[in-house]
Amino acid sequence: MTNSPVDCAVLSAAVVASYADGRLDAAAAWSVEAHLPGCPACRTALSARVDADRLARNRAVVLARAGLHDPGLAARALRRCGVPEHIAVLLGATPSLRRSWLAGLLLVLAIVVGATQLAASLNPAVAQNLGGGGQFSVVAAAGSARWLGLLPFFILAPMVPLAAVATAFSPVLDPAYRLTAAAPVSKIWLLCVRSVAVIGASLVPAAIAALALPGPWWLALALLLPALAMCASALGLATVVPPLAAAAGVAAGWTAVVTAAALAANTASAAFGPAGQATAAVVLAAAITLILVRRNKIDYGWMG
Amino acid sequence: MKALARPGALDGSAAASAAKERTDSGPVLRIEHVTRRYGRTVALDNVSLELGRGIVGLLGPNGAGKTTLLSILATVASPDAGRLSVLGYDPALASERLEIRRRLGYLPQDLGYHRHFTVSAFLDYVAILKELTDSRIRHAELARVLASTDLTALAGKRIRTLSGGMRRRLGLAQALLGSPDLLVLDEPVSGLDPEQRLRFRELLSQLPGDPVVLLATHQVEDVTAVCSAVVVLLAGRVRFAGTPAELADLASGRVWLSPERHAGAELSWRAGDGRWRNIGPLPPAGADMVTPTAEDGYLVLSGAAGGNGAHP
Repeated sequence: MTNSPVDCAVLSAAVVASYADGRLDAAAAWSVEAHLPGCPACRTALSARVDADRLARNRAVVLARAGLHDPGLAARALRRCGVPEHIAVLLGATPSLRRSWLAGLLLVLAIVVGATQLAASLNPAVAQNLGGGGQFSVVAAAGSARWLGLLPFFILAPMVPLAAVATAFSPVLDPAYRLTAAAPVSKIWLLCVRSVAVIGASLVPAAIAALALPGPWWLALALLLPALAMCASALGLATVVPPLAAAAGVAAGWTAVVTAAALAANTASAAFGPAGQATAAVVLAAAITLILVRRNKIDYGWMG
Repeated sequence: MKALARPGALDGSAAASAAKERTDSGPVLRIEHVTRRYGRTVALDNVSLELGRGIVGLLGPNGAGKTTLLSILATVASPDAGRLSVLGYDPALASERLEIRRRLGYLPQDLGYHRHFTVSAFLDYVAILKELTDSRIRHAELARVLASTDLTALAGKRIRTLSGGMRRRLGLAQALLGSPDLLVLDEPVSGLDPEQRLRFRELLSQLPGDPVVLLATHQVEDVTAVCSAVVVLLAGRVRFAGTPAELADLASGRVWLSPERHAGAELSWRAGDGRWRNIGPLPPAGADMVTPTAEDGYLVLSGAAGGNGAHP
């Protein structure tokens, strides 16, 4: 297209043409836009150069962008942490990262912590033991089984991230599951990204609940390794059996182990001692190895 | 679940490019002895098919296996036995399955979406799943598919507030993201009003790049209008594969008009002009025979109108 002369002393035809074609840098474009409202000649020249199809396409893009809803608290927080925009969008749709899920999670943990506190307050011997030296053992008073009040917390708290991972990858809880299955996005990548995000999000309330317990402060840290081991085990098993079955199996196994250890040692926290931490570390390493070896087996729908 | 046997598996990328070249001269979709069961129910029973480029209609009653077949072609489900080639790629291999998915647009029968999604947000989400990670390119693509499905004005609407027909158009829009080579559409016109169905036909006719389109539908007239080939599935088996005209020919000599309902007809109904349209194997002598439609052929084939349910 040739540049028709513009009857204007400020802008040349070439500048108007460059602006119309979107070839000006931001500063020059702002100068043109500041000039346009007061110059009918430039507006006329610009109108003659505007490509109607391009204008329609731009309008459609603007409308499409305007239709994108507020990404939500989780996605905004992720963006602030430097997570790329497209990953934040994907994670924003993860059920276990959404506010309602987290609110429910906090409620359950609050109930468990409250029940535990109540059990301790009803038994002065236990309360004194807990409040005294910060020793990591919740020993029952002689002839009492009140320490069992702590058992639900020790079972549930490390399972919170596991539940979050299960909801993040479960076909049952992902309404767009079939579209995800048919998409080229790497399922192992999606699984890992979602898992890391939900483990991070769910460990925070679990750690706060652990700090609220009548016990030593480092109890929260002692929950970490078993929680990670369970999540990794569930992901590893998901390469062999469906994800929900894998998570349910790991949850059942964890409940059995913690209960058996507590009964054997007459201490609710028996599974969290040095031996338990070492076992959790070994399980975590084995599970990560399994995930890496069988990463191509993680796929929705297509088994083989 | 039994994996597909694949003798002489090739190296990933070399196999992919070699496989792609095969579709230039051969069939685009090849299905060989595919069987799929759900418990004791056999959804697909030793299905074999070869399909070329163009728009292929998949007809059959509910439970015939259409959705199962499309799910397998869309790599969402795997067969219990048999082997496939989709666009020259073998979906039994993870690397080639990925190549299929990169060229696929899939509209499932039930379009799942997160409750809080707007139309644009849903498309944005699916576009990311389709590896469109650059937001400028992605949003331009969103605008393109919104315009092509006439949904631009609804971009900011929550999906849960849309009508069934609008949701179907949205399903079609997400399938079109990335201009796929293969479109697998399960009941794309379900819930669309007549005008929207015509617009859908128009859209299919104007798809860029000559993609392969496989669409399952109950609307025989849509198949006649836009499809170059038609496949009829009955009870998990392929009972017909040919052109819409050949499907219509199955009812040749079996459709006639009469002033009263004819006792020898297997199926008959009164047309708008007051005469009865009869379909059956034994028209009376001197009957006013009419040229059959693809719908007549389908009815004969399915056994609803005097056929034996078997392809002659």
